[in-house]
Amino acid sequence: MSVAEIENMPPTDFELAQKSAAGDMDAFEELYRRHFRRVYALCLRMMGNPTEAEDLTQEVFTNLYKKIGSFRGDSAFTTWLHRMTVNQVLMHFRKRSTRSERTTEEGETPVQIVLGTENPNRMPIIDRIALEKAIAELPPGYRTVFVLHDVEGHEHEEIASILGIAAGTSKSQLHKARLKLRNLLKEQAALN
Amino acid sequence: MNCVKTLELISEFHAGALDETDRVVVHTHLLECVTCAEVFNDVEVIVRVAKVTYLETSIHFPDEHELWRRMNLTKA
Repeated sequence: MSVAEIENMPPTDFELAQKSAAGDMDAFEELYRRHFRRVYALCLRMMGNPTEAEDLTQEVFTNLYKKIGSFRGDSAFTTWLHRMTVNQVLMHFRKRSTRSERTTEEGETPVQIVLGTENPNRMPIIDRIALEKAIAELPPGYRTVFVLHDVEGHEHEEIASILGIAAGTSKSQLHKARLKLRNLLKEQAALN
Repeated sequence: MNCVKTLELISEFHAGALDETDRVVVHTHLLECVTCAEVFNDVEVIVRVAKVTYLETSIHFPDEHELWRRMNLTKA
């Protein structure tokens, strides 16, 4: 590779992060342009609400700007930002006003499958819209694990690391989330 | 294996994460029990649809320039 080619290569995320930390706003704007869609998409998947996702995206980048100096390049910038985004969403969940629904000690709505008394009709054929709606109705803990595993494709060990929980808890939450979704989808179908 | 135990293991069965003994027992139960088989099929559908839900191509993104403009960035 020639010197000219090297000079023309776009800066890496790490280089942009270092410049941003030194106060270069153009560098930070470039980071924002590169990662805005990824951050917004993750916020939307976890929140299920475009307005809240937009607000959270703003919060993530505001927080990123404040903490950009702490990025040392030990991991990929995308990994670091992903973790920061998930943490921001979790903080948002915690700050949210208390839900009125009955919850277990883990803060989740119990999943109930009563064999033999289920709706005799199978769960309807589901589409993305119906599933998005049902995901949005999941308790935050279930939704977070479901989105990270079944939508984003993370392994349980990664989710455990991101959320600071045991891998077994992640598996258990995922299982409950899927069953809860099944119930929600059947309820939706019964109302239509 | 009864239905309650099978339902507990359905996600692990779906992930192929059960040991051989449990896998065979759950599989056998699913062949015999229509109710549990329906739950398993539904879980399979949910997981499949989830993979195409929120694909970036299906997301309506807000105006990134407007969002950038609204951010009031100041160092802590």
